[in-house]
Amino acid sequence: MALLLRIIRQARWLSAWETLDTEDIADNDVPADPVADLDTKQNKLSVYVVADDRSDLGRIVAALAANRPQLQKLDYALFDERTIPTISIKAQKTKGQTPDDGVNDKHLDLVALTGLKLVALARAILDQAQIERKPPKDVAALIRTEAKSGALDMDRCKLEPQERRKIETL
Amino acid sequence: MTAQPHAVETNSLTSGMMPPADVTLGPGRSPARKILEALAADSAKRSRVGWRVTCTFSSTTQWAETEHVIQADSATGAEGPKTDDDTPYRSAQAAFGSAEDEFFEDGTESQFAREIKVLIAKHRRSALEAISHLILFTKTGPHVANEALSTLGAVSEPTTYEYRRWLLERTLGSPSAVVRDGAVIGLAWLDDPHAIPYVQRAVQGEQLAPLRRSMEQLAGQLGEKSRWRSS
Repeated sequence: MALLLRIIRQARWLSAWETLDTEDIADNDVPADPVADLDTKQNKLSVYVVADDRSDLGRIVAALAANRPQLQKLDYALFDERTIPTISIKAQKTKGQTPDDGVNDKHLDLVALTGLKLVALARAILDQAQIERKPPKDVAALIRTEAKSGALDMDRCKLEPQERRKIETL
Repeated sequence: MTAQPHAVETNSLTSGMMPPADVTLGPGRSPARKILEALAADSAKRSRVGWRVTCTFSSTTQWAETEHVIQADSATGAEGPKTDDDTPYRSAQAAFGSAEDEFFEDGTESQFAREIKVLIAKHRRSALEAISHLILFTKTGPHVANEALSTLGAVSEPTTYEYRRWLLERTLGSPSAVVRDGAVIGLAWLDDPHAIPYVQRAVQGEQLAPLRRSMEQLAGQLGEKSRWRSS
């Protein structure tokens, strides 16, 4: 059973859990904040496939973190890929856009999304997903490892110059 | 409430997560925190007069090891007396106000984070006093507080280090999970084993599983740093 990884900002989901605890929200609905983490383009949402033993999780995290201008913590949700068909969402294999070609091959687009499907996905993540974090120090270590192994092409990474220096110092 | 100048000076307010009822100024006086909250909530009504709140956080409890003073003026465009101290508070207040409309995204520096860094570089301790007041004693939104606390950990300004660490340790006990999360992120940047007892205490009280995991992860990181230092 593979897992799907979606980058999120944990604070939005914490706020949603707090809201669910205190307000009467229907089982098929969600507080609005976490939906902001599911920002679609052309009704598609980007996710990455993680092996069930999570052996490639570090590599995927490194590629995603190196694909941003600032070296910061990285929060993500991991959920069972079998969740997707149960909420009538279809997935399409497409090439990712990170500086690691191996990771790019693990990219999926969730396609033909609608407002209701996004809410269903947000609810599934709230109810079932594992929300995890790699703090800045771990992110730097993962990038160092993957760059050293040659998996991560640092020439294509989007980190700003002063952020690249942090990779060695954190 | 009649608008008139208020001065609540050098109140001894025990720092930490104690409920307001436990915080008193002394026999026959109102709880200091209640006074602060009332002043903050009523600041609009007081826009014609200047008031200043000064809280001394004592070092008498286990929660606070360093004495800090927070000063804040009404700073609502008041027509009352103005001093140079108004500048950092008003700048911070403006930054916090604008931040309520900003969408924060990990991996990209927010405008708000840039403003906080500039404020601290320029005003140092005064900026921290203002930021602390805005987070602890006003209705700053939790997501703005989260971003501010995350940024405070990543700032490299040595003269405010202890103050920033103190604020981060203290906000681990915030009633808002989003604010506690900001404190965890900020402390992960600081990477200072001093925070270990505060983090351990926060872990014990944390109800939300993902946040508890982040706190445990932080405790592990700081423990490793502590072992590395002592080896």
